[in-house]
Amino acid sequence: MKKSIKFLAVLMSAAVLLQTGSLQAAASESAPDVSLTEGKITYSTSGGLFMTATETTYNVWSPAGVTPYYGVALSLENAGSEVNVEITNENSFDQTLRFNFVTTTGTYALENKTVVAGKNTINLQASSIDDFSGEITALEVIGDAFFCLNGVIVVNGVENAAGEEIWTPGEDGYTEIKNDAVSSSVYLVDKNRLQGSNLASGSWYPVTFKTATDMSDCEGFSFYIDTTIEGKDVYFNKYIQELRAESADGIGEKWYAPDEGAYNCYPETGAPFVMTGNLIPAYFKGRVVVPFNTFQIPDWAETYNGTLDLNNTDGQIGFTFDGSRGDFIIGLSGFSLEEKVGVIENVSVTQGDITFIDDMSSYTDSTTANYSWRTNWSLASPCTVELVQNPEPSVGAIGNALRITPLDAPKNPEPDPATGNSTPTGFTALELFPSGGSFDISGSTGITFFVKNEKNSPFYLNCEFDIMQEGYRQRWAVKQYGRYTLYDTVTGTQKLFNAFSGIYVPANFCGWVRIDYSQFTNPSWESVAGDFNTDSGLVYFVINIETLRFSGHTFIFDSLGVYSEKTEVKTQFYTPEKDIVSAIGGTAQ
Amino acid sequence: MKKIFTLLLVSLLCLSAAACSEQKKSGVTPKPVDGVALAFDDGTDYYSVAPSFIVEDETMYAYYTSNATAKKRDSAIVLRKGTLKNGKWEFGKRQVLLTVSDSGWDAGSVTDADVVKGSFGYEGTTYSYLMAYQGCADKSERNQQIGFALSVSPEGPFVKIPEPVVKYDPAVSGYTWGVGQPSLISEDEAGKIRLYYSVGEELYTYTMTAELDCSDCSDIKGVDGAFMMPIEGLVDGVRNETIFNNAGFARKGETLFVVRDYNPVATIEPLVATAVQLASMPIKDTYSNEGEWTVVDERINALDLMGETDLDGWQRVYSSSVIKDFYGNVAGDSPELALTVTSFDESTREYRYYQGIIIYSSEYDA
Repeated sequence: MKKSIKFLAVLMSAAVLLQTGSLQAAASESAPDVSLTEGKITYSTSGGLFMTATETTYNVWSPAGVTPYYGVALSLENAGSEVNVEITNENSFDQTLRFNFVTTTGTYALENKTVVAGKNTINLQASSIDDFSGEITALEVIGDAFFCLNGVIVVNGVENAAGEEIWTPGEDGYTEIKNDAVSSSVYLVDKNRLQGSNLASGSWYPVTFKTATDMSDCEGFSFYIDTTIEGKDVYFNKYIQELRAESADGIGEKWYAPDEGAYNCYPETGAPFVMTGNLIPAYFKGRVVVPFNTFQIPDWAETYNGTLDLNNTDGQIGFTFDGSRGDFIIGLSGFSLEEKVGVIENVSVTQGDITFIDDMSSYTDSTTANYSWRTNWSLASPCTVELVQNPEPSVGAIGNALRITPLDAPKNPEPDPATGNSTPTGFTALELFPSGGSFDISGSTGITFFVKNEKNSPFYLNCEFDIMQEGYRQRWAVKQYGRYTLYDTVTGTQKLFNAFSGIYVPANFCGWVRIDYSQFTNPSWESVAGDFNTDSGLVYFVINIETLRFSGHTFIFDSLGVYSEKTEVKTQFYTPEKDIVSAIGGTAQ
Repeated sequence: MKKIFTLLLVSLLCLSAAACSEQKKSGVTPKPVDGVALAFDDGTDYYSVAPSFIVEDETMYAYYTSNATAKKRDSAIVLRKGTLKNGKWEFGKRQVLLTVSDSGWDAGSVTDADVVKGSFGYEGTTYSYLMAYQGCADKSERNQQIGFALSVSPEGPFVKIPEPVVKYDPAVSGYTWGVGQPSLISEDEAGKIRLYYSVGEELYTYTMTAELDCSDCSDIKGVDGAFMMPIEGLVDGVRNETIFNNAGFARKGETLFVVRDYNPVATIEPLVATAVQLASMPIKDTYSNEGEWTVVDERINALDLMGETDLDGWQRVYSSSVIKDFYGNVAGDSPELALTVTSFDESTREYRYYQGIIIYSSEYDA
């Protein structure tokens, strides 16, 4: 048994006070460990809510077989409007848990409940929730799960091998997670707290996952990660150590995942993609699958036979987080070895010389569109993002598009937690790849998108993106007076405009915008050096909108992509070798 | 600091005794001169600005903006014809070619004209000269627009096309300066012309170009296709804040020349530019994302315009043009410029009627 488990809080039962009659057994397919008997929820011993703790730190971890999050979700049926949950806190101190009712209309958070040492009966009433509606189908129990790293944390997941993972991306080459070496622990790595302990800013924080020493039947490993909490990308090394009896510490070759090594990312929503750079982008939420065959011995480490001997490791896979990236909090869970690791082929939609980064076709509604296109800068006057059908498909990009509407500033905005400033900035950043991504831009010459100004007055927006430079993100923004092409698909005119505070979009313009990479530059605040190159991929895209100034405007945004052809504008007096129409494919679509 | 002008000083500095004598005889008080001599002198009852000087054979057609009535703050497009004598241009009497309309979009002012030669049909007549000018419905200098007038002769009479050709809609772009300061180049020595013009709207100030087919001026084509001229390469006094406006264009072969106000303008009256800048670029590059100007002369200012006598040099230099032929080609081997200059009264800052025009020559590698 795992020695570090100081207390065991098990959902012993939940007495369901019925309003409508008897309760039927209803174990969800996604939570096979939960079985429901009359009047009680019985949780199997392997499927309980486990907490590990020391005097100052604790960890909440959920079993495999439930939503990979720092808590558990229990399926309920005919739960009525009031639920009693019995919890035994085997620790010697109190703890706070949050309970959410999941209903057919949404998730409703109940107030946090204190779980005292020993036995607890928690009464949860739907009537305490404003606007509660729907029928209760599940109960989420979520730990206050700031896990404070204190040196090297080793989690032995063997005894927590709870069975099947529900997360199955189902991509070619990806197989089910092995059951015999699963640690479904969840960490929230809180750097702020680390700074308060023995790890200073700029340090590397190690976290290790226990595995079998023989991993020779595996091609890689996977983990679930959530970087949405603070919305910052996270960089960390991943390594394996071989055993070597002859060496003083018993450790042989050390193998690291290099920055150029590719790994698969399966976001919870949206298409899977390939990432490099040992980076997990901000706002990513999903599973990452890392193949062993990319691992290398770094220059500073000893080489013995130069072969990765997966049958003779020290029984762990290590992660070292780069603290120089600033504060971050991530969730990390569901670590697993993988028998087989395939390679995701990014399937790109093209049109003429355009390869779309996001043609908006994957979104089913505004909610899913808002998941990928996130607004940032909380102090700003916001903007709404709706998924619409391009209202003029015959003259523009066909199908799904975003309608963006800048709004007035909030009356009493919450102060920025970092600066304390509560004055609205008037800007909103609308970001793509908040759920992670890397888009191959090799061979391309610029950025393009479709925009329709729905108002009879001009507006402008800023357009910026990040590429990777030796493991660091580097920002590129349209330079002052940078030239860009406007191709109006309604009038058929092609024009060149200059960027002032951004991309100037004329009144009623409807068509394509093209901006060569040559018209981008590093913002003054960018400290990451290096010339622009298209080798490392585009990992972030943002449009900044001066929402206060342009509140009341609406515009359609669609078909973000990169293009490959150098073009000039075709005018009454000038016919270039290649213009945007011929580059797109000779149509106005 | 600039010395206060006195008429005594002015009279001492008068470069042409004959001209002075003529002016005295006609009751005209000559303008104060603060640098190289004026091309001609309208006296202190008339301002002279925004030149478009065009050379054909041995004649220079000096179009410019002035007041139609002495000492009155109105506006008109005026012409003086010049002839070359002993290497110097001597200009004849002023002829008013265009005045404000009784009503409508140009009832308040008509200014900043340029003229191009070609073949322009309109209501059954084929005209050889097309004038573009800036007009305003009132005296506000807001919501200005660009209109055309046609003539069979460079000396007029010019027939106005009633409606503005390049319109400005304050409902779209804000109640601001508008569009104006047109500059013309012929594309085919017939009906096709390039129109360059300034835009001062709520958001920005910049220069546009429109490729127009004016073969039939009742149906001019190409206005909606106007695009911005590059700014990259131009240099102003404030880094990364280049304002490209008030520019005169001419071409030499496949090279485009521009002379433009050097910004920012003076911070005290007269609130106009203190220098102009000459730059060039291949015409082809205006169609490219990477079009960039090459500065030929970064600042033509007081130091360049001190003249042959002990003068400070014109401390306001603005609203200029490249001297060209009627098709918009640079006249001569190297660009010569027609510059608006002014002196001013130190105590009152008054300058309106001191504004005049000089011809500036320098050896540029064209």
